Amino acid sequence: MSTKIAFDESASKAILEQFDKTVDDSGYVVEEDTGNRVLTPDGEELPLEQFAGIAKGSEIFIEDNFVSLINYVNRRTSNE
Amino acid sequence: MADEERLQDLIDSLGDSTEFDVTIYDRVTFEHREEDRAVYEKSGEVLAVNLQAVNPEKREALLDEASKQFQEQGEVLREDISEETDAIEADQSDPHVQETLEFFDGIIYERHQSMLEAAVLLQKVAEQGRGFKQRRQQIYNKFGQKGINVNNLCNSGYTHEDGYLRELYYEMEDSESYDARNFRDIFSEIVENTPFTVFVNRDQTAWNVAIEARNKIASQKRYRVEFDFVDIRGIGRRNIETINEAVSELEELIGEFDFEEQTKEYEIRVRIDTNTVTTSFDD
Repeated sequence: MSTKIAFDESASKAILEQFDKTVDDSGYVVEEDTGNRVLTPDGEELPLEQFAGIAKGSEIFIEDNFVSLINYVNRRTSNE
Repeated sequence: MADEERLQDLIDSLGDSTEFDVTIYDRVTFEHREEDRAVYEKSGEVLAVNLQAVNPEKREALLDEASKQFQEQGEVLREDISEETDAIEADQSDPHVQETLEFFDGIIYERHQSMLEAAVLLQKVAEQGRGFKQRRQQIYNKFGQKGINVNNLCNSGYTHEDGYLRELYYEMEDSESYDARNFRDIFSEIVENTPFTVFVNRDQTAWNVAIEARNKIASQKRYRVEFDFVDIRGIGRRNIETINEAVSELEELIGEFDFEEQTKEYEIRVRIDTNTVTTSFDD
């Protein structure tokens, strides 16, 4: 099995910055240039502690929620 | 997957005295720790790189590798999520999971199918001890009480191969006037009101349970199908005691009725035959 790069919660901000995102004063993930909060596929705003990762399509922000993860896996599997 | 050769060169260049072979790990996890150690083995599967302990140039190069993985492989996930999504994918190929989802696919509403998928996969989480309580709460956060009801129905075996919900479907399908919407709609009502089940938890008293059972027996007449029973279910010694007491309280409320008790280790099901309840509930 090939090695995947992942990140620990402590490095969430560093990963987000890599994608031109940051965190606002209330702790939500926002676009660095506009300050607009990013949305999950369910249309929900995303607190930093719920940030589970980012996926292509073009940029999908994954929420740390069991149902969201199942939906993400279904999407990932159907794209394979 | 990351480009292992590039990642290996980068990790080798961090100047750590220990040599690590990137290829033997499932994941290389980036962290931010207030310590000098730049690379260490977090577990047999995970090599950790502390971004705080590397110079800005190397830090940028490492983060660029994450971006490249995103571009090439389509995702960069938190370590625990990376593990969890792989586990979910593996669980989805479990024959029991597949069989259950395939059976209900198309005969219940899509939103209920999503709830059912979460419920059957949560059973795998429980079996493997992967944070059941947290994941169950997350199902509640997304679907509310209906999600928990589907979970309880699934956990109690009603969706299994010999489960009541399948029996009900076959019964309805056999009817000459059957329309696909019939079962979907009755499934909706079951998910919303759980008309034939009382799931007992630690916060309930015997009296509360008896009242809930009484109300479910009384309201069964308003459904388009005859359920013929109400199950009172509970897990754990305390809930078993509560249920036994509740049955006596219920007899005081509605008179005698036939019931069948099944106890398996610390699990109980009392099935009340609602056809033997003589109270009319006209009030």
